Amino acid sequence: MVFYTLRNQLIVVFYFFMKNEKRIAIYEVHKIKAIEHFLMAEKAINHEVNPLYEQMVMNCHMGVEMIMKAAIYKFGGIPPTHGPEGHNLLKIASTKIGKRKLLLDAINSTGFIQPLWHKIVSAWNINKRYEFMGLSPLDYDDLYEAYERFYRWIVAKFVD
Amino acid sequence: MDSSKICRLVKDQLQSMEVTEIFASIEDEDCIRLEIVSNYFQGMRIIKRIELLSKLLQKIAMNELKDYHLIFNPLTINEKSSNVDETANRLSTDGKQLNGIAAQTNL
Repeated sequence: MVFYTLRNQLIVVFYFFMKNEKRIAIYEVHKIKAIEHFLMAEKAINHEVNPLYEQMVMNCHMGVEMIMKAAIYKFGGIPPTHGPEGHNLLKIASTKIGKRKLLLDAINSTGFIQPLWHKIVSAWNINKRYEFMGLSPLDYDDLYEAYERFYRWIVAKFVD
Repeated sequence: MDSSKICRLVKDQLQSMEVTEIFASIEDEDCIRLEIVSNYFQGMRIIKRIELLSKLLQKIAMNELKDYHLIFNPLTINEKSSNVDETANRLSTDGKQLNGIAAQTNL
């Protein structure tokens, strides 16, 4: 009886570490993907001949998406991963960890982050990737800055 | 919270600008799309419009609407009625070559 109880406890502990290891691996992968997307975005906006604004926005969006997912994985949550919801920043920010919506609560309680978030979610979403945006280069510059500052905030507050 | 109450809250905060119409729709339980029609936006870039609204509505966004995402769609009266672009900086014709991410990457 004691043997079986001990064995079951060991199995539970083993699975806990398996799950935890996998969670850490997913978190690390998302963190690296986010950096890669921001490097591509930087390359796109600083293109010598013609800045690739739409490429920049797409990559900034993906970078922010990945870093938000990394933060959620780090705190033990599971963000939406499939279909359009997997790319929807609003849905990702609304992911519950326990009873709290970690990212939404943090965004709405941080004064200087709110305008950045409003710019990001109001100006572009993944469904607009086939549309002509019609933004001015100055708008694209502002949008890039908003994405980058939001990314840095997530990294500083949740990921590092 | 229903959309009429949200409209009232938003209108109270936007007294400094002449707002013609406000439409609020609640999507996916925790997302509020606000379409704000005002000629105050004339000649203003789209990101600057969003920034202005974000600043003016920050108080309610951090209190009454803290459980919601806010998405802004600021329009002038002409833009609302006839789809005319009245933003400050229109893209040049060269910019139209950047027609969507799909065009660039063959998605």
